[in-house]
Amino acid sequence: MEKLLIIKGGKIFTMEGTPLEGGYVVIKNGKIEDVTPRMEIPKDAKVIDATDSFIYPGFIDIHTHTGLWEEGVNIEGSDGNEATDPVTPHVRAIDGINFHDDGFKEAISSGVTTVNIMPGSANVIGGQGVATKTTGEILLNPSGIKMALGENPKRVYSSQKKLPSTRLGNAAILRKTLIDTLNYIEKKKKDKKAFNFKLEPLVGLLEGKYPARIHSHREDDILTALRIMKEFGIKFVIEHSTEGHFIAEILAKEQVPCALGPTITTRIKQELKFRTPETARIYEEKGVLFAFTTDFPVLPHYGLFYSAQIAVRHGLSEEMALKALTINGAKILGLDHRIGSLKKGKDADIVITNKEVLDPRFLVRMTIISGEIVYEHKSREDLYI
Amino acid sequence: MKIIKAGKIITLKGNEILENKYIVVEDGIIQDITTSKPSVGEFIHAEKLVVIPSFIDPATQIGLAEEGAGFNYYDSDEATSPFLPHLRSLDAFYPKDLGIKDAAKGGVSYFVSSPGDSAVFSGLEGIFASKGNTADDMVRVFPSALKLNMNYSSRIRWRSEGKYPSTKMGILALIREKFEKAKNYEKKKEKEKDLEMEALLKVLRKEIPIKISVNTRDEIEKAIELKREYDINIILQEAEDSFQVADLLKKEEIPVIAGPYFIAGRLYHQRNHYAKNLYPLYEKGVIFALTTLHPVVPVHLLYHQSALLVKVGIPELDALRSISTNPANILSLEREAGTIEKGKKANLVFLSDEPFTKESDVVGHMLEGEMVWKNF
Amino acid sequence: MIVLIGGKIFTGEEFIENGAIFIENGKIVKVLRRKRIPKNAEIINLKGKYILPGLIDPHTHIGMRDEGAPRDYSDVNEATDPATPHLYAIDAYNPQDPAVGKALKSGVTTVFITPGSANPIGGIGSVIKLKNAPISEIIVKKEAGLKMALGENPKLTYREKKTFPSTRMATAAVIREWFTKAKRYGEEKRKKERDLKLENILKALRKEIPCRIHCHSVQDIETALRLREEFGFEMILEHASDAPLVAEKLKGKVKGIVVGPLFGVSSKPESKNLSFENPAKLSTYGIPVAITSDHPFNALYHLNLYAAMSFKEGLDEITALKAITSTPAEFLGVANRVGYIRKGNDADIVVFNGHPFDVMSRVEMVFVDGVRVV
Repeated sequence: MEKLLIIKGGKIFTMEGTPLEGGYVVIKNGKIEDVTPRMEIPKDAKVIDATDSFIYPGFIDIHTHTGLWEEGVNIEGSDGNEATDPVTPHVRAIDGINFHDDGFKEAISSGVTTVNIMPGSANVIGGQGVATKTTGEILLNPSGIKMALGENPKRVYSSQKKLPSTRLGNAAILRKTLIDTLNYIEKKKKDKKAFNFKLEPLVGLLEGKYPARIHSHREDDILTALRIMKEFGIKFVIEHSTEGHFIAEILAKEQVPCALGPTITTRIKQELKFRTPETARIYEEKGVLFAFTTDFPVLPHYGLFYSAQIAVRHGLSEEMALKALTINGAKILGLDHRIGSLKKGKDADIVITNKEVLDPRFLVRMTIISGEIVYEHKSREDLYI
Repeated sequence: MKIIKAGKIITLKGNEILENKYIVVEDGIIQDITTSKPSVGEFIHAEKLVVIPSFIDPATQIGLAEEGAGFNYYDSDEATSPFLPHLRSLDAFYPKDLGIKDAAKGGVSYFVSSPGDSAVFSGLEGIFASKGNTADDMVRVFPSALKLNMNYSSRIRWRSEGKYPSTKMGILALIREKFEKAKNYEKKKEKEKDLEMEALLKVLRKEIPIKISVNTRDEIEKAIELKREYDINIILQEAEDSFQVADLLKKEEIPVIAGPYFIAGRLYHQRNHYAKNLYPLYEKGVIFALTTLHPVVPVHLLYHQSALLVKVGIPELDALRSISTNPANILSLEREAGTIEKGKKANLVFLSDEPFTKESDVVGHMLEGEMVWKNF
Repeated sequence: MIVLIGGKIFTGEEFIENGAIFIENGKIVKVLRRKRIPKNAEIINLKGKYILPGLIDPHTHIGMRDEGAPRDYSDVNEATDPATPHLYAIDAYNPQDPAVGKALKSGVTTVFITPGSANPIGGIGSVIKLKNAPISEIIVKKEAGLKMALGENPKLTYREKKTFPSTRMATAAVIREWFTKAKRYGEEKRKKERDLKLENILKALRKEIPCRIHCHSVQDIETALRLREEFGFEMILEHASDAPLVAEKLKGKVKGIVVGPLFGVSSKPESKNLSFENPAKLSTYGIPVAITSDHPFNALYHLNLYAAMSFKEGLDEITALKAITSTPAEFLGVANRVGYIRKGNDADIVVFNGHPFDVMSRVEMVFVDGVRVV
């Protein structure tokens, strides 16, 4: 009989309704066995006393480059942007990630248990992303096809004097590649020998197996993404959505989810000019599904919590702030049957903190992933702050 | 005359905390802090708020690297020669940089605006206030220091161009060459005025300090060697490995400008760049100030960034000192700023709650007696 | 017939004392513990000496980048196209390289020459003997491995040229694309025309030759495992600096690991864990280890000393001796010819005047194919 691991709370933010003031989270075989206000503890269970602490589901960041740009290594560890061809759907984040990088250690010590790692935004079509626990356990590969509009691809390729060097070019390349893929699908029906390694991953995209994840800041880039994705019937997520607050109603109506962030960086590009901490509040008001992201390493993983804190000070409800750190991200990834809340049957990904995560001074006491204690705070040395 | 009725005042004079006092402000100066209610004046009701000294960011490129304009508009880095000590950030300061209003909203009264780090000697920097319409009415002290880069960024720039100096050896040789040249220039009785040499002389005469960007322990030790060799005042910037030589820094009384910390994606020479490594500095009594290095981290997050110090075990009042009193001392502004006391400038931040709590945010900022931000 | 009598003979598996090696027509016809010598044999008394199979280095670029030549004469890397499976290292081999003579004098008689690690798929390596003869006569096995590379080298080579691949993701994509194409080519019943590139990859897919994969860090070793999982080839890892950290995962999945170059300083982030302790650590997991110089990165002609250093850092004596004789022979698929002193194998023999791990020992004799060359 597998031993139980029981966390005795403390305030338990289940993300499945009102938090419990005191209660138990029961873990068995890597899954959550129960979440209950009262129970009789079996003699051989291991109990973690978190009565003066706060308990959350493991936090989720749906847009990172953890391990793809290694900490402390310079170009030898930089593997996120295959900036030699604006269309590279055939490259996969998983083949470039160093799962032993300090970035994962920082994530775990910050309470981030699942990350969705994607290629960068130098390319119009950058490659395949992977959703993984920060211990390296793969959840979904591929989790989506990374795409980018706006300044980045055109800046990278105009310096190489290649298409695209304007927003016109960005969109044209995207549409042309999608049409080439449709042609390839037709060709395959007639000729069994037809094979195109580069376009194969886009077949899965067009068949709806995984979404497009489209980097876009400016309002017009977001609408270009919407226009093109609708043309081809592809489901998609908008990454960053910096000017999304200007078109929140459209995003809500079209049910476009957004990976919002990184919100606490400087407006170093023109397309960031209208960034505001009010976006999250406006999304909540208008009903746009969003999750906070750090775009690690643009922000450290703990930047998630500062982003949420600042959004709350600008009017976002605390409840939505917490959702945008957990269950919303799980839903956007299509993994909410496994992660994102403390519910019986879901993975035992749990974080115990000494203060609420919306308190700027909070520290993670313990991180549990798939039922294993993977981090326990003992001294300043453990921190990646 | 303005009168602030403050619920709680953290003056940062030692661990002093005052409650329910009136701060009397006139001509931009704190005239008095008293329990007796003055009869005349414009009242500012901060009974429910906590008042602390406003913030100072000692290392930014505000006005030079304008937000929202894009890289092509930056004037922060004259990367055309390693020796440009006569450049002045004042001459390229754009007063409508979006970052300035954010600084005001974030409670940052003063910030240093400094040239970049491609050149070894990149120019003269100065202290600006976050209010005003032109560079000349925003500047408070110019120059406040000469910027020197003995770090990876400058080496790699010249190495990529195949030019001198592209190694640590080369950088130190260049520095010594130029200081000797400046000494010779000083001795000459009849000479043509040379702006570059004049800039170096200010440092050799100890009129201004030299602010040195360094990363690793050996670079820090070389910087200290320069201080001794030429008897100059130095301030270290970044200095990620400073915790490894905390005793030496304390002994030589060298301050450190540390940060920023809301960052990841460290390069090899930044492997030790973590806020937790400030704790040994705090323990040994080395004076350090936090910076955002705007635009690396937005300047208005200076206060939020200081919460990281609390996370790594530094007491809250010392975390606040690192963004007000300490930078004031480092920048020689201690007579006018850095604490709340009679005779100093009325540079105040109004917090909605105790520092670093969940509800706490900068809801007001008084700069030299003027409310530049009021959201209460 | 030549008979070598006495001394300590390391057969490639064990030591035999007071034995005799009978050589005829280039082959070893007998290895005995007791002596019964034919009348007209040439007898060489090796009492007190150490006799080993001719040493073998399974990863070199000797003859492809000659000692003393200007830099434009390097033929190690065809760094103009990331996938060149149709290239043969033997086509760049120059037997006049001064290093060849020096290597022979040090007791190295057989090497694997291979393309470098600039390309994700570099080409075919061959097993050759370092003897003075026409190239066609020195080849022991023409197609002994498909050189591949992961990690920093391929991506930095092509990043400089601003072409694909410039990241690890793309390096893996190059390999996966070509291997997938080769698999499909293999499944075609009637091929329109011969594709030399795909043919060579197909040999690896069919396990006719192993993939010799250059990698250092854990993430690249894991990528190699992932690729092997997808395509089912047999693999040997080259260098694999971090292999001790993932040895459990490698057990049973890798034919062996070629460790080296170990002398000198690791100059790249990915190779910082390369150490003389690696062979011993890997051995404890039962992973076969061969030791290489990766000439010219370390000199081929001190191969015995690299094994000695590994022995010093914990590798047991027999395994260390095997690492430069029988183990590389097994990796290269030429154990029936070299790497062992046993009946039927080529008479490639080296005689040291002391233990080969003693830095003061000298090589006194070297036989290749039964002919004394040193």
